[in-house]
Amino acid sequence: MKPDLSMDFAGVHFKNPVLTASGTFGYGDELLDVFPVNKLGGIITKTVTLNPCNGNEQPRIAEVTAGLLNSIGLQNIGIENFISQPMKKLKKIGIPIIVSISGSTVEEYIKIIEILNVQVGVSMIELNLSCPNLNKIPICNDIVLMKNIIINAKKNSNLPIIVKLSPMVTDISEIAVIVQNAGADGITIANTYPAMAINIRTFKPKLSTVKGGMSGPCIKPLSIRCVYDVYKVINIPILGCGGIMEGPDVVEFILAGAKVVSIGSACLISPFNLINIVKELENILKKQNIKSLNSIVGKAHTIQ
Amino acid sequence: MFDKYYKIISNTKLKTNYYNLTVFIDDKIIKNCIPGQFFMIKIPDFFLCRPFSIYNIDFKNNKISFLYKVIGYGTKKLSEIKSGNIRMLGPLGIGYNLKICNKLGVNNDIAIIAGGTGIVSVNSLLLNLIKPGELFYGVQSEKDFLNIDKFKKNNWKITISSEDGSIGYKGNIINLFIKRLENKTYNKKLIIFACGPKNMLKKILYIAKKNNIDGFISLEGKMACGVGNCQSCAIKINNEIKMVCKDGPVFRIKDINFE
Repeated sequence: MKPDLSMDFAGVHFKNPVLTASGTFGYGDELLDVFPVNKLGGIITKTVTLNPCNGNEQPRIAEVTAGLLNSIGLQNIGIENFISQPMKKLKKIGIPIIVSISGSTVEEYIKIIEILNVQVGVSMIELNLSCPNLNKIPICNDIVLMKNIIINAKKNSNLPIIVKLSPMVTDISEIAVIVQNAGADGITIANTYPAMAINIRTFKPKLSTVKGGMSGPCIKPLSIRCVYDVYKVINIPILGCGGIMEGPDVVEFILAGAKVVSIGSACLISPFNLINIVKELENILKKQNIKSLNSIVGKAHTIQ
Repeated sequence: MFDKYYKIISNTKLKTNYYNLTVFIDDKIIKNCIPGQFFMIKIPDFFLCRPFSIYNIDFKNNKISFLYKVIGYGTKKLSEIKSGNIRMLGPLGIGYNLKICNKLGVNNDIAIIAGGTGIVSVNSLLLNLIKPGELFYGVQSEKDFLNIDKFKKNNWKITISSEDGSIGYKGNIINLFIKRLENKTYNKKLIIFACGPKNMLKKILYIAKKNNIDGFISLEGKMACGVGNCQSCAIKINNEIKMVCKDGPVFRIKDINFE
């Protein structure tokens, strides 16, 4: 029998837990003609802001051992263009669409949410409160502002709201509790890790912004630890991410406490990696005789 | 877009630091390949793939080749692989629009301007053009000069320059192109194809606009994904952000302006 990969997460049904991580699958509509997007569990779009944003100067990307650094800087076409262009195609795919959004004030978040509220085809909103590449501290490091944004987002949204956190905080579980108490429906653990690389021939940092966010398999154990710690203290569901390259990595995140996962760096190597991961996941469950993925969420906490 | 392993036929050194990688490619994929497109090649031990322009598409023998210069650890590693299979994602990007190329080519003279390894991209186009024209090929030095026999065989007029004077005229190839324009050597309107360093292409674009010349240029970008997902190869064109990988790498001259 085919194992059940489906998950209910923050009131939305996903046929499998493999989602695209924000910023690594464009807006989600780019590859529709050449790639079976509908085989994925869901799409998390590139982060969209109220107004279009050009992002950072080149170079914006640098490879490191077992991963990469990026400092794209939230380049995007702005919410109005997003609605009039990619969203038109996204709503026809038939899998949940999570729109990642970012702003610098509470008002900006509210304005974007009001626009998304009336859109057909948006399943959920992810508040990106943790972009490391904006030349200022991520919002999740400013507890008062973060709480205020979440409370107001919830008040103004008729869609589930999930919050993406940075792993670079003193205690991520403490912040996760604050996010939960502010009313969030779910939590994404975690964004990239601030990091840096230097070219030894030119003596210059490899990124225009000097520092960037590190992702890839090199961060996986760090993010697994974050998910594990957060799962212990909250009741809202966790979307886990960080360095997933293959099926077993997904299982690891689920065992640590995530219900669904998002995959970024592996998708940059090839979007087809995502399809393979879904297949591998199914095979692992078959082999270990696990009937449903949902039955093993957080299992690493009970078996020790 | 296909993600698969290809059998390596050869990966031979052409001269110091320059190699030609040739792989078998099946009918289904080769018929999707357009001159000017590229593949993302997965080099063992490296996390991300690297973009490589198609150098030659051999429809008859189901072969596709990439000519590359060893410039860093990745290309060095690639040059050491002599057999087996190699994973590639592609074909990717917008190549030369052959219909438009040849429509423009019928009534116009054709010139190709290539700087350094820019010869790779235009080489893939050569056999698809409706008639021969003039090749302007500039290199740093003789040691960077790559084989252009295919152009000679197809009756192209050839002008060569090198920065150090070790082959062809001494100096920048653009100056020779400008001279030719000033001398009004061309009987008809000119259509150009250009690929090379960004500064060279900027100048070409400026000259083309000034002289009302249409054609195509092929840009380079630092890419992580090659399919428009990561946005690392963003470039400002006509005040809009475009992706070299997805919106290009080949752009039509009349459509663009870039900073």
